[in-house]
Amino acid sequence: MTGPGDASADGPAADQPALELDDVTVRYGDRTVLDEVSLSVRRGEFLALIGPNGAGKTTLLRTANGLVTPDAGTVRLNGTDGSRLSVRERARRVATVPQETSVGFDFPVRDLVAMGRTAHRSRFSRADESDRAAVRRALDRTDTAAFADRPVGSLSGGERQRVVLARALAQAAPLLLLDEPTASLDINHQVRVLGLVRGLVHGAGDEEGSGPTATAGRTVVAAIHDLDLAARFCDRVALLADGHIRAMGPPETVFDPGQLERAYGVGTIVTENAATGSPVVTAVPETGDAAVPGADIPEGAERVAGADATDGSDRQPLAKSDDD
Amino acid sequence: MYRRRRTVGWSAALAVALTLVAVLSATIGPVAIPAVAVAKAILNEVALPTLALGTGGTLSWVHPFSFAVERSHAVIVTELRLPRIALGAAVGFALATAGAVMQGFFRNPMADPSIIGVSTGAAVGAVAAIVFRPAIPLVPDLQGLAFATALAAGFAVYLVAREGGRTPVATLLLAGVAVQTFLGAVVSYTLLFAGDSLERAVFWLMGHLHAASWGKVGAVWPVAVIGFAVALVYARELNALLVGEDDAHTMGVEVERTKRVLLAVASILTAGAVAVAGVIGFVGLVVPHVMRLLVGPDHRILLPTSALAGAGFLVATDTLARAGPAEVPVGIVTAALGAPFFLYLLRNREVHSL
Repeated sequence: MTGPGDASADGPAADQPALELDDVTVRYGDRTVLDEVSLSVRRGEFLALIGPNGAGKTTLLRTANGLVTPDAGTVRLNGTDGSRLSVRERARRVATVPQETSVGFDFPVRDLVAMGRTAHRSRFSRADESDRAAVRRALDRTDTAAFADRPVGSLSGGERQRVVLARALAQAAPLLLLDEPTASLDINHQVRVLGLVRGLVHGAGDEEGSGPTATAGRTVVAAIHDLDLAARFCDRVALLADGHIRAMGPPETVFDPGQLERAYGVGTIVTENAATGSPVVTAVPETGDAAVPGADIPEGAERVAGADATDGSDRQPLAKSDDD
Repeated sequence: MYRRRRTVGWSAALAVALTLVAVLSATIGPVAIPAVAVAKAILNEVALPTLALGTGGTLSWVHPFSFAVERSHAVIVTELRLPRIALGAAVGFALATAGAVMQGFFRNPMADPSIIGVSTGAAVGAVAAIVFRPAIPLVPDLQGLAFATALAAGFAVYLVAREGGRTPVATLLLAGVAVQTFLGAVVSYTLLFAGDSLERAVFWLMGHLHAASWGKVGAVWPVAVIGFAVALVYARELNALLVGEDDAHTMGVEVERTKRVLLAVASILTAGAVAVAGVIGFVGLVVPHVMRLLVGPDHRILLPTSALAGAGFLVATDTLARAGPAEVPVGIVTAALGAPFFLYLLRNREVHSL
């Protein structure tokens, strides 16, 4: 398992991983959803959680933000045991964009985003300039300022998703958890949202940010179904299956056909995206069936590992090398 | 700042409307009293006495000047009609606040103040007091017993619904329905033994304000105002809960603690109102809905406007209830007017969600 040992020798405080799960076990009834999972996310890293439906991705995120209390093990945020933090303190450290939000009501977008400031305001204080600035910035960055005064209920699914992201940005927490952030977005907004999120981590491609909440350096953990998007935008990928982390590392090493088949139960072909150079995973339902249209390898991409690789555990990860 | 202005504007307008309704209501009755005389009588009682430093250094209440009002008119207004109006306003204020809190809490448009069994609990206490008090001297007075059993019912529902430190809203709702049904059976069974007091018990159950007194007014208003103030302090949390409990939690809201506070506040407000006025339906359901259509879902503006509108609505309906040749329990009037109005809203406007 990837331990904290790979943290570089900065200061002792900067040494702490942004998020660390230590032998975390979560059970729902007699079903073990997370089984002694250990995971360490460095500060300033964009980690994708991938894995089949029911692998425990959402539960892992809900354990990290405190919605689920682990049956065993510890969750540490920046070195602090999460169970010692108040709900409010935790909300200042972790913001979450859930998979589904029940926004079937008439709050204007601006008010919903302003709710993200809850943890920064005392009960009797009015919103001050820093609150308003954080809301404005969050609206601008997510391209939602144009409909800031419209009721959330009148927006499309993709627009709502960005509004909820804006709310999480307004929360100004160093760790951001996203559960399927691109599920309801069209291809344009998929890449824009993930580009934006990547900008929060690395600053690249992001307009001049002002103030501490706008600078890069956040840590993001996102559950993503779309493996190609995960490979394009994330620094590392954690493959989760049956409550275990099966692999973790750069996309090129995790996207091993044998590993993916064991996790997803379907044969895959890993190729290289001609445009971006990132790995592309194509599922092939009938292993080795050449008639499957998806098995066609795009022009210019290299076939690295065969779809019939059921025992390909020691197969070469996607590399520039020729495997023919 | 825009929201603040809207809140103050709406509240001021509704407060003026409430005052007008109250004055108008005081003119109506077996003896017609001109509005000017009512206003003068009220001013004589409320506004003009001032604390003054008398000769010799003693403080005392003085009436530096007062309006001339016919003595009988002044007595009718201040001793008969005003207590009833003030009580109706307090009950409407409390029920509408509790209704707005419950609808936000349950994220359910059908939620009303009695949803967790508080009203039925009050009915058990009140009917027991009416039926058994003449026979058993130890039974406390009706209002006190009704208040106590109302809170006991609400607390029982809360305990039933609680599991592992959490109180799921759906469980609470169903537990409320079950407890209400059970207590309804208790009330019906008790009525079998009512004998001569049956009429009084049934009248109480219908909801009424005819037995108003300044004493009751003094007991209910503090409950209404304090309960309202606590609810208003939690308005932001209530907004966050509307987005969903999980989201509220990740935004930094202590969800379970907030729910306990809100449940307690709504229960106390309802218990206080029902204990003095019986089961008055529809105020707590319809008024918050209407205000939500007018001012939006934000509880920071919805709570004060609902409370004031609830007060005005109940004073107005109670005026209708006592204006006819024979007095009708106000609960009948609120339901008879409220239900068709609600259906109208349902068909013509968007009362489908919160």
